[in-house]
Amino acid sequence: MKAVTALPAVLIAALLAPTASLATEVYVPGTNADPRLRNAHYLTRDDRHFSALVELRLLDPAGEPSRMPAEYQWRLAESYLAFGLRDRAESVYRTLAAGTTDADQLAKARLRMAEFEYQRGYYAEARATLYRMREKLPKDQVVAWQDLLARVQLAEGRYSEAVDTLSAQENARDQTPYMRYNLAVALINDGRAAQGQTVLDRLGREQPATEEDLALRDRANLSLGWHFLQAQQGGTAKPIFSRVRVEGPFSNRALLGLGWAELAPQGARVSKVEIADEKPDADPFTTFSSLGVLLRPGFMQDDVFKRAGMRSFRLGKAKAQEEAALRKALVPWVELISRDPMDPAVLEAWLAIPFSLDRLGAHTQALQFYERAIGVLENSRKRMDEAMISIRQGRMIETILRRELNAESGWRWKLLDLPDAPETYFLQDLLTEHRFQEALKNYRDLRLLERNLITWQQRLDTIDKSFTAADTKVAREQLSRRATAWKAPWTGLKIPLRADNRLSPEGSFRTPLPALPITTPELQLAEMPGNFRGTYERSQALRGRLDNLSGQVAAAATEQARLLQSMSLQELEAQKKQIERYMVESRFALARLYDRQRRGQLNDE
Amino acid sequence: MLNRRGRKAFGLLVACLTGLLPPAFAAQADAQTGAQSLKMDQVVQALKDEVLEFNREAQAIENEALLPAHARVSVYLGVKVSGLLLDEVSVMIDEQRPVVYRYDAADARALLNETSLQRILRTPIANGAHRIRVSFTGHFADDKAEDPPVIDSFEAVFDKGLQEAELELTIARERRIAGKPKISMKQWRAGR
Repeated sequence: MKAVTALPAVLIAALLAPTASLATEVYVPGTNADPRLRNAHYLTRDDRHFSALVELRLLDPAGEPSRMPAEYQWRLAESYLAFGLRDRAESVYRTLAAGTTDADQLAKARLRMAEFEYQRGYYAEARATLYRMREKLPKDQVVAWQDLLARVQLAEGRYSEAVDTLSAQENARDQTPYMRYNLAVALINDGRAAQGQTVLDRLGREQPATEEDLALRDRANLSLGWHFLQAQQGGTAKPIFSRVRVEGPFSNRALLGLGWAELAPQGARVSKVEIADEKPDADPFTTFSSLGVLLRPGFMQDDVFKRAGMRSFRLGKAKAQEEAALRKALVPWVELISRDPMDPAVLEAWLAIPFSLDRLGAHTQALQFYERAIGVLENSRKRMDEAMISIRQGRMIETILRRELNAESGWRWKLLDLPDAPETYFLQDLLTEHRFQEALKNYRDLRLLERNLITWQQRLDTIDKSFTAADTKVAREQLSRRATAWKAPWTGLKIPLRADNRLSPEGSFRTPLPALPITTPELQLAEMPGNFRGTYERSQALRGRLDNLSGQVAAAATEQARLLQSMSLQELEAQKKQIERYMVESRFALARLYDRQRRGQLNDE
Repeated sequence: MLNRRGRKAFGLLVACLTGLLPPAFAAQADAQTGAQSLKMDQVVQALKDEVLEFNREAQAIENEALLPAHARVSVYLGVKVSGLLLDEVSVMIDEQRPVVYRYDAADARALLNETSLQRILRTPIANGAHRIRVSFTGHFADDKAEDPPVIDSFEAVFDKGLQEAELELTIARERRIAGKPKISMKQWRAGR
């Protein structure tokens, strides 16, 4: 302790002072030690793919990635793909594939590439990418490969091939529930309905662990229920619709189906067919509320008919069996009309109820319900028109993108939530489809490019100013002074030149040369370079390119917005036509009822 | 069950319902829109490539004009402490105005990787010895509201030679497993 305090103040200061000089380490550009490459890695992880790509391209001014280290090429290809530059990414991956020994890294990269191709709609390319990698596919990538290839084949309508892809390996246990759902879809579309039904049925009885599992379970049950309904197997469809949750993304459609299942022909008993690649399972117990509870008396807090304002009615024309079916069908439909009328399933229920009431002989109530249904439908059509106006004015797309306008996430961007606007509600199915999402991503990227080019207008001005800035002015004055007043120190010095016809060893040139004819070399000044491209000249050339590019990007953004608009309007037009069809049905039914009332044929009172 | 008339009505309604079926059973996407989407995708890819090339060249010119490599210092920052999310970092060279970077959750998470380095500063400086002062505040992802922030500061002298000076600041634990997160510095130079 004493010794320390006894140290001279200068020495203490020297010990506490920061290191005076650091040893400098050397890195090879483009390797993992290169801070610039690591900065690009950081930008990629921060979803700033555009900035990462600019950084990477600056690292390779020659624009020859194949001459850069492999680490650089992997990073570049990944960033290209993340920013939606598929063709560029593919070219780099192809070079890497020829030289790499890391089969796992290559397989993952190719799967990412194929996923991009699938999502963007390049199905043939995706299939080719996946077939190319089949030979050297690492074992732990088999499931991901099967999943993707099957999705591509389904998108192309190659159902039989999709079934083969998903079942050839006999690895049902390793597959995700989504893959099993896709297998069912492929089987049904391939004409192997019984097998497809078995897969969907098994999925519909899975014990769900997450919200996502629950949604898939509901979807499987909904698909299977509607499949049976279309095949006029109402009796089989009923318990399947009943498995869908009371509240969930598929509950409205299931409620509608449940009602129709009561009225549809009940059909023959359907037997299960075993699938080669999976074993039969037990029926699991579930704890969440499913639609089945709607049919249990006393479960709902209020009587559903009372909630809908229905008085008790007596059977008019229907037979006892039909009356029972109609009464049962009304239960889910009455529940359904208490839900959001923007949902097409809810609108359908508004029609189905008076149809059933009329069949039951409750003509006056049917008449009243038809009138209410027309009001609801009119209102929906009005909202649909407003949504169309909003889309035509480009408001919807701008509202969707407003929140993350400056994100550079490119292909990795995800639409996580939707703004609270009627058009986004009507279009919720379309908005989840790849064809819309990918077009939306491209539109976002074009807007990003537009904003990037705008910032360069100002940055180029700053660069221009640097050429005429005050400190540069001093240098220019110095140059001007030197050019006019400066004299080279060797001015006036005469250097005699003599031609020599051979090289002589050192010292030998002191010996006088034999007499030779004197030749004067023909010399002349070189021309000034005609196309000098210094920093200034290159910066001036950028102006023209900037204007040209800005125009092209703006035109492409307009075109892309038009594409999105046309997809949305197409979807809304179809929904509007559906509403109008419902309105025609309602008005026709209403007219028929009034006609019968006028003729005194309605006798339910 | 419905009688014949009822079944007819049901058939009509079910036909109307095909639009309600889940997407997997829905018809294929409209071929014309699909072809137009692919065509536009090709246009967008070409434009992205051109704008990137423009950025590369413009950035190179901007660097040459305003920040030539031989007259600048670049400061990079990396975090090697698991779960440490930075809130703010301040870097000051000599008596220049300090550069302060404030992180959001995404920025801070992106740094939590062995390879990631963020270029936090690039500025012109003269050749010779310079002093750098760095400080940071941050918190651990599982910290409670009452936990104090993680802080450290660092000061060093570095030499700027004829090439660009590239400094890597690393926030790492004093010891391998435990210890306070501390800043250290390394100087790099491009080889070849």
